[in-house]
Amino acid sequence: MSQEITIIVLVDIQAAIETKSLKGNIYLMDNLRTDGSTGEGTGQLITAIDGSYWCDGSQCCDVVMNWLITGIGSLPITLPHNYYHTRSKHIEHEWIQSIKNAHLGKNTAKKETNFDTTIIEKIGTYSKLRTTPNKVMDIEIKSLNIFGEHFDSSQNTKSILNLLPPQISDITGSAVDNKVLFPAQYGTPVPIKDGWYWSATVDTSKTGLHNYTLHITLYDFVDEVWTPVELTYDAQIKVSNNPVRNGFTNAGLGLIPLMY
Amino acid sequence: MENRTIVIIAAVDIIGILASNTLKGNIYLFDNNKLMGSSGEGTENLKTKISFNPNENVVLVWNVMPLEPESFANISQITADDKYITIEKLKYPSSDVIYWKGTTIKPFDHLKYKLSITVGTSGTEYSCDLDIIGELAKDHAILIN
Repeated sequence: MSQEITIIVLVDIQAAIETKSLKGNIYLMDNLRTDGSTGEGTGQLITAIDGSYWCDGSQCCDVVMNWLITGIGSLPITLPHNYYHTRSKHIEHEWIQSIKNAHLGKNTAKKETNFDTTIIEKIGTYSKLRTTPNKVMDIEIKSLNIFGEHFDSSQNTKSILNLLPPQISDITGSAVDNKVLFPAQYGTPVPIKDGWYWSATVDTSKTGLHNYTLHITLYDFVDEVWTPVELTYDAQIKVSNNPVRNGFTNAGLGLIPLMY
Repeated sequence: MENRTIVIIAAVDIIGILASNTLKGNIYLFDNNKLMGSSGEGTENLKTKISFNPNENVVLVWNVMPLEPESFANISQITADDKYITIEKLKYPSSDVIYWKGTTIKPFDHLKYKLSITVGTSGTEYSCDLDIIGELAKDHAILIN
């Protein structure tokens, strides 16, 4: 039996892009304040990881950590994971309807001359992503504003552009090198993070303070192209041999020893 | 300088709220305007800084984020002096996810507002008081009052 730990990573995307650093622009929180995590809501979170123990005090098993990253100024992660795609389809559908209606209305001849241009104007183009310094590809979503509507740079100000959410691209560092942390990216049916999230198991027999590095990709909207900005951030876990605590019954925040 | 729309996120530790029956120590507030002077990021005393340009309303958006993604939290009410700000409860299109939007009506120095949250299936409402600090945009300081 393992305890699942969730670490929420919040990034002030615009500030991080402007200052080219995550320092001061990243906030971490976990759900373990009761277990002794410190620095909640700051960039200096130290996650307290208590081992799972048999009732005689011997080591029982590992602990699982999950990281969820999102941006302040991005649409919230509580929206369904396919939201960008479904919204893009809905927006296209609405526009096609409106063009059809216009086309079938009065002054058909006049409208027809502009039909092709209108269609391109109305349907718009997909968002573009810079994959390498010299290569740009279409991604099958439209740019949205922070209210979930289509973002049109000819009509909207950039201040309401929904910034693409940041992504974790890797987890490295001494905790990984020393085989305390075993991170990997997993798929999930849970509607978060586009179906992907980073998770790790922790060898709780290696007690002490361990460092790890989050590799984070932000997306800057440069000349209508989403351009990746790669940054890193160092975080810590503190593994102890305190027993896991119970927070779910009326017994209060007691300890949970595991029985043979 | 043109105003960035301000997004305010209330991250809530739902288990903590249910265990201790208070928001205190279990809510972390953030906005995306620290570069322009917001303070108290990551605490329960967020002071959001906004600047007023003439003839321009400042738009604020509030979202809630549960620390355990499987659990449910909801902003049930945001109240502030309606002489200065209009607050609406809205839904992201093609979804059931709620957000709250505030649009300022006229400039102010300091606006207090109350943020109320419900968690899980319990209907209990938990509230905290927060601040918006206003200033006239530097180029337009002469227009004060």
